[in-house]
Amino acid sequence: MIGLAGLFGTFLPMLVTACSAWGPVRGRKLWTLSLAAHLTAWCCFALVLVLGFFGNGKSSAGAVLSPMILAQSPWSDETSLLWTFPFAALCLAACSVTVSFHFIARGVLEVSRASVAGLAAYLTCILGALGSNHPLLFSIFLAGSLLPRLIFMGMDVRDGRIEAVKETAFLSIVALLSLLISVLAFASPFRDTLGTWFMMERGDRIVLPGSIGISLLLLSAAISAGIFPFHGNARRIFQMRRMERAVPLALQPIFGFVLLFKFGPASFPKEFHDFSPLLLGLFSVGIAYSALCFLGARSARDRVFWLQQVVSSFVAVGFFSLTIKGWHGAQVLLFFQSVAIPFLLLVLACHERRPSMLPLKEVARYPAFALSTALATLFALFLPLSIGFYGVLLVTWSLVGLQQWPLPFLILSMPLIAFAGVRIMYFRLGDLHPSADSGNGGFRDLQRDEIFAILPIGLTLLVLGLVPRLLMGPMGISVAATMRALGFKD
Amino acid sequence: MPISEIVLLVTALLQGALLVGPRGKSSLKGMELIAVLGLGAAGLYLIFTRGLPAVMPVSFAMLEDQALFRFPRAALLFAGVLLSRVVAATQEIPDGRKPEVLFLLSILAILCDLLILSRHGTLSMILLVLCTWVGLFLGGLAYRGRREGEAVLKFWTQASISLTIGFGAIVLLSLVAGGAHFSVIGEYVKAQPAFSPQALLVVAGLLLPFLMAAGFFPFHFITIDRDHGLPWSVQTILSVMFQGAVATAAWKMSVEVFGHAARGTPAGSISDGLRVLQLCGLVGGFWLALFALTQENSKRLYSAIVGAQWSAILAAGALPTLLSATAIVYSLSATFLWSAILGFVWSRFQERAGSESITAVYGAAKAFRTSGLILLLALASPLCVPGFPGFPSLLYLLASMIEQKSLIFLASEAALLSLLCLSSIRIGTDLLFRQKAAETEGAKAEPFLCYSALDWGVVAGLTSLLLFSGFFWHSALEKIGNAASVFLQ
Repeated sequence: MIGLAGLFGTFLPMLVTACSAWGPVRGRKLWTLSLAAHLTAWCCFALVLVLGFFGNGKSSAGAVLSPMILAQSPWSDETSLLWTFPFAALCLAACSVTVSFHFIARGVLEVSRASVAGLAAYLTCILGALGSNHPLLFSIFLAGSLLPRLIFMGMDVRDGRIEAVKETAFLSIVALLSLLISVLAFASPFRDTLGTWFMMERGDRIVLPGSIGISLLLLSAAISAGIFPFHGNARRIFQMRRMERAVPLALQPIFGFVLLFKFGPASFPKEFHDFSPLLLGLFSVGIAYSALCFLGARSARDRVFWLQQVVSSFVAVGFFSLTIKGWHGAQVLLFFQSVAIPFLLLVLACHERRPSMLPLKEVARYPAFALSTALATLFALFLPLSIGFYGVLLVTWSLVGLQQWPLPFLILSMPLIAFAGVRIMYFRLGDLHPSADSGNGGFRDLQRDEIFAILPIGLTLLVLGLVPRLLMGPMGISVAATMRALGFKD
Repeated sequence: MPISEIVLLVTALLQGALLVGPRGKSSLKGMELIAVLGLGAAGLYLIFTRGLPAVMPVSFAMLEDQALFRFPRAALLFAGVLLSRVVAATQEIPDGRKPEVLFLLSILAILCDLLILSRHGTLSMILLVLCTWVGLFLGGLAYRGRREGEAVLKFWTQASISLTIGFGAIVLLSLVAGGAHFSVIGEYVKAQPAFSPQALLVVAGLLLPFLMAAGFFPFHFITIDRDHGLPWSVQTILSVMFQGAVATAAWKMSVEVFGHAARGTPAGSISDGLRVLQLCGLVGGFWLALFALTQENSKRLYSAIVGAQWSAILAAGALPTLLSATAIVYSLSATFLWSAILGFVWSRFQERAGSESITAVYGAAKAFRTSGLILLLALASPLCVPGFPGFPSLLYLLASMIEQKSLIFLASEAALLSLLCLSSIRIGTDLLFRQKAAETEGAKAEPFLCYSALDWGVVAGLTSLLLFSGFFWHSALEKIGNAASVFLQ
């Protein structure tokens, strides 16, 4: 029953995609339908979490399995959606973000049926990817996300940026092809029939296959997550005409990291063990580099982008530490990134709708705006009130005693991030250049739709920051069980 | 002869009868209707009698109705139905000449169908030359000035060289191998060492006419130049029906003749003939895909991406295994359908804009919403998007390349397919997301690009078939796989 709820929640948004192609349902009606479908999907995953993990159903180390959805001989055996606690929590986060997006982008969604269709299909693909228990099924959802994302981005792209949309789509195809080759040659059950293609004459398997397989997988993950060296491509998302469109697209890194967490070490345990110190070093340097760029970024959009890169690099460092602590921290940070970055973008979108920055001395007159801005900054910078703080702590801790040399990069990055982070608070210090609207009510406080968009995510982050055990407890148990099953120990 | 051929012959005869009679609007309508019904009925027959054995094989075994090839043949005929609607709607060909064009379309459909069935070198060469000549006449009927004249001249050159090379090669092969039937040549090839002069002679003799006639590498540039001079309707017929049928026939012939590895080579290795065809596909595909990326002229762009797609499919079919045969046949069938739908919508856009440049139709899909949706579906089909045939095609093509155990060829095929996807993305983004060009202004007055009810019916039917085969790919590929195992035996 719980599995069915998850399955229903995953595919329900596709109904909206179908409806948006149908003429009579449009405008406010379509928006309402879409919101209802996304809310229902959210409820389904809340049910999975509550009944499946917090209730009497499964323990946190277990998983919720949906009925079989794919049986494609010879490609894979019975394939279905399977949610462990961290991925069910990410599903809930993704649904929350899209629900919030409905409020912040109400105007856009009411006039653009293509955007509604794109958003709903994109969410289905994210939820499907999060639940996939076989890399082929994951590939199908990754491939499925290509067209909705292309449409969603393309509908509002700036004229000069059309090439960037093409480039993004092309890179997604490269990622998919890499993944497909990796899956076909190295994933079970196909590995048994085609995996011998690198056998040498004497029957010894040469070193090449594993390294090729892991390279293709990493290439696919790096492009999908938009991390180094493909971070430039991810930056395009933040350059659209309307900032709010970047909110659901900020969930894109989920694809890359889910690919790594679910199928990376499971497919290439030896290769990951061999290569992880190198990659660990690379992403440690990446954190310092992203922190420096964050410090030097001139526009608010760029700052959010570099902050996302910092968090992504932390997730990567945690992942490549291949320890229970590191993975635990990385999973927490992945959840944090999927909620806090969209939250920051929502606030930025609200800010961009206003003619000027809020003068610091007038903060009391616009409490909702001021509070949301301050909270977004506090959460995003993984300060102690934020769940991200614990994630960073775990990731850094995982390196102590394992790999000492990346630690200075991480420790040096912290003050840079904190120092740069102050600049993402959208307050004007002083009133040196009074604008025409200053003091006469031209600056609006948050409107009802904006509050509806920001409040649920803000509250979630606040509650999790205050009671981190709620998320981190089951997540830790689940991660430990997964790591032990893969043969890794702390 | 198979029943589908009889249906096609009746269609051509009925059209011929109408051509002889008095001309007028009603006779043109009749021609259009007969084309749709005849080609459609033959295609439906092929789909629904898939499991039946060959109805009437010709006594001297020149033709064989293989169950495996009923899928691409049906797709070819369905593409013909849609392309007949392009002819009916075009303003580039005067109404007075449309009946002849429709008649030639039916003739071309019969010839292409027979070419796929052929198992004899001489018959294949005759059919190739006849197809080329029908194409030549199609180009001639569209003659309006110097450009069309040049295109016809290029076509004539192509036809003449195909004829000379083809028949010269067949005579030579008959002398060397003791016959021109594919099975006889196949036996001769089996006895020769790989890449020996005798084997290479057979490869050149059999493949060159096919490559020349359809404009595959190393003759790919002729086709691009030629198609540029022809009207959209004729160009789409040649790029989709003719080129696709030749690609299918060339692969079928190669598997029948070179399917067995040469003497002295280990089992599972690729034979010389299939390797040459693969190289032609890869090199030509790359050339055309890269050419498409830089092209502003829509006609050249269309020819390039469709040609590159055929080439990419040929490049993957070098190892005649179950997986490979399934991949090739499914991909060929899907390409017939999506390229015809793409040509149908794109040609309307360009004709409406009155220009051949793609810049003239920027944002056209936004202006013509319904056509834009169909265009999006056609462009998404070659992409690796689930629900469309591109995804299973890609999956199976890559798997068949992995079977070949060559990393270089696998990487090349993957690169080629990704370049093709990039071309599709490029066209899609230009037509969907760019600001509307001045040429498409005022589009709201005619939101459906003047499609008739028949157009709607045909497009809806083919799009549904495309989506159905893409969504239920497993059952489609299972059926093709069953037929492929019979063919490979």
